[in-house]
Amino acid sequence: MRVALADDAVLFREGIARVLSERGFEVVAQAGDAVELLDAVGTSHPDVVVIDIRMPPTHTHEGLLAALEIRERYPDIGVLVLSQYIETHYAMQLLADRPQGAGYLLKDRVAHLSEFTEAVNRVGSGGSVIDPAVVAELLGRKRTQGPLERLSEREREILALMAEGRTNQAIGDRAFLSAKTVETHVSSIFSKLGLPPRTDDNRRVLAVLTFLQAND
Amino acid sequence: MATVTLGAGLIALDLWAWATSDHAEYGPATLAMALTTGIVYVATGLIAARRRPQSRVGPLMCVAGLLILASLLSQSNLPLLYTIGLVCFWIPSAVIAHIILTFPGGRIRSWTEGLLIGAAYLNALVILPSMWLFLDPKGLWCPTCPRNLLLIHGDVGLADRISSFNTWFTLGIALATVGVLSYRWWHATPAGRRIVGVPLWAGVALTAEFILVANHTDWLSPTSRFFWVDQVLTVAYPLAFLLGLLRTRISRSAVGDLVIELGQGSMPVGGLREALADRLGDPSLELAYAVDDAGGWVDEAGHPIAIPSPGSGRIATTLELEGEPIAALIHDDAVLDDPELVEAVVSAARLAVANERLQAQVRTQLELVRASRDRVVEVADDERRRLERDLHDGAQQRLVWLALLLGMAEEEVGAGDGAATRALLQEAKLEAEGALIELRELARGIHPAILTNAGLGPAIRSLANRSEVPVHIGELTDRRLSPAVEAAAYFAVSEALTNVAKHARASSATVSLLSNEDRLRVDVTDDGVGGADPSGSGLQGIADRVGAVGGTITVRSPREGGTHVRLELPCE
Repeated sequence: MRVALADDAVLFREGIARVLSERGFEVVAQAGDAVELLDAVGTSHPDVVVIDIRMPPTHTHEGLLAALEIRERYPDIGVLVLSQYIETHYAMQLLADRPQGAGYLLKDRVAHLSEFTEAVNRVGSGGSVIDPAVVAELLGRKRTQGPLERLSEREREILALMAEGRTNQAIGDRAFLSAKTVETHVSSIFSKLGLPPRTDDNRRVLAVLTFLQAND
Repeated sequence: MATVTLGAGLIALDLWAWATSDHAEYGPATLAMALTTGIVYVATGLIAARRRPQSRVGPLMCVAGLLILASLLSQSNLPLLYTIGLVCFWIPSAVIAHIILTFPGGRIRSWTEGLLIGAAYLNALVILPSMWLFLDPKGLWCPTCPRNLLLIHGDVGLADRISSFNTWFTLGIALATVGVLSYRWWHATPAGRRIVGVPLWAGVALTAEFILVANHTDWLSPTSRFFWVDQVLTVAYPLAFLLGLLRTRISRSAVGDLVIELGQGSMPVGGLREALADRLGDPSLELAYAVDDAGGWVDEAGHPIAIPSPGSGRIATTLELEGEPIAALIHDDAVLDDPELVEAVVSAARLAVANERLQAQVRTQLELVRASRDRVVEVADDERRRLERDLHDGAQQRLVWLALLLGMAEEEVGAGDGAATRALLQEAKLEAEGALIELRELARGIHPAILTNAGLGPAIRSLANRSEVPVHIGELTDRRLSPAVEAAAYFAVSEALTNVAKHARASSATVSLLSNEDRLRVDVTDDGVGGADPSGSGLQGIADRVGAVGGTITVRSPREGGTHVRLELPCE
């Protein structure tokens, strides 16, 4: 899988490049800012781009803007945005129109090499990745009585994994359940929350996140 | 004392002259009336001079009275005294014109006044005496009269012409005087009219009297009824002048009220000017305060004010405190004709002015403090942003790099004999991640990046997500506002939600942010126990921030009635 990297911290970028290369990714381009990145993406056309949200010149959120621009211009290229902060707002913005091939992770996650490379792989193959911390914040949010109260412990666990962008298969692997059982749980969750049933794994990320964000 | 001695001497001389007179024109009643007139002028003049030492009207009245007494010497058989009496007869009228025109100060203030007064004296001192050069009473109608010492040669025709000229000239002066006074009355402020009134009516009465007498010479005979009217009027003028001068005494009690009012401190801001204007009877009065460094003057509102130049009809009376000018009353110069009243009002006002000036200084200092607080908040906000970014680009970035290195090291060790090392590396990685989480929270508390990047809406949602108490989001503006206003609103909501979690024992809170073109309204409400103290450090911190951007905060927190914090922030 062909990867482009964008981060203004050169050492860190090189480190990620090394990790990814060692695991069979082909790092085709590296950039220090958004402009460089857009140029590189145009010429090398990677399968997935890993972008730090804060880059020069303003060090605010030009990484996110570059990610949105790439998604607009090259719908087939996946973008994985890394951030020092977890902000639901950014996650939603990134996934808003089209959850396919989009990911939002805390920067710290790179230290867990396998999980990180798996996330790059998933985004590069058109999947969605949402940092567990985002999901935890949304699920952990204090609420007054609402539909979430009706979920069982297991159902909450599965809901969180869905929100992270995992497929039924992946959820089954994590929770030691068969795909069939997961499917039953999922439809039960959707009906308890009053959401229309969805079969598409990516679409359902957005539905769940929107539900969690909106419902108080 | 000299005046009294002179007056008494003249009276004695008059009585002796009359008693020994061979040509007694005056009956006892006429003489008594004439003496009374002279005495009243001298007496009122003396009172006026004592009560209003700054005015020259008093001395002028004394002079008029002495001249009236001197004119009675015409009863004498001695040619010198007789002649002095003749000459002195018309001079008092010039002095009275002088008083009327210069009332109440007794000082000539304009060339018109000078011209008229000069003409009056010319008439009394030169033109009329010149008649006596050609008129010989002894030879004409008073054989018992002594010799007229001024007589050059008798010429009745010439004397008549001079007399006739004198009549018209006097009439001209009288009418011009009434004209001048009427003009002055018409253009005077109410304060001025109060003063111009006395001489105007005296002038009108004298002129009318003169015209009547000119047409009815027989009325001047003691047998005529008009003679007595005339005598009463003649005595009335000096009394009127005296009362006019002393009228300021009535205003004194008003000044007394002013002092009491000032003492009670019941005067509203800016009320001092009105009180002073009222007491001085000059509604156009302005109050100017000395500005410390610039040497300029400002009014109560702090606007620059010009000190009038001399001759502009307005005058500045300066108030000094410890030798420094602190304020000025800018008033109609007619008010200055009552210099004592001005001085009384100025004395009464001095402390109040000093007080208002202190208040003005305090207000100025408050402005300065406000400006400095704004700067402090602004600098603090900049510092917060810089600190957050330093953390992000420094410590956080290094820790992420460290965590990645540890992850890579973990890979390198691999399975097998390195199990212990691997466990250590894993633990180190967890430590690094723990540090990162703590740093992240710290940085967010210092300044949330999302606020700068995405604005109030997302930042408030993020706050609500992490609140310990369930938060409903009501209206939530998606407008971007100035960094200072966004920061004030964000930290206010943050503080308010912290308070809800800590003190309110609420089951939920509601946050709403509504904006129109020029204002942002923030409401944070909870259903808790209420009783929040607005002066508590948390709410006070919000108030400081909100105040720095020119906003207001209101806290309603009845016992058991929940708490409602509302901010109103200006935004363009």
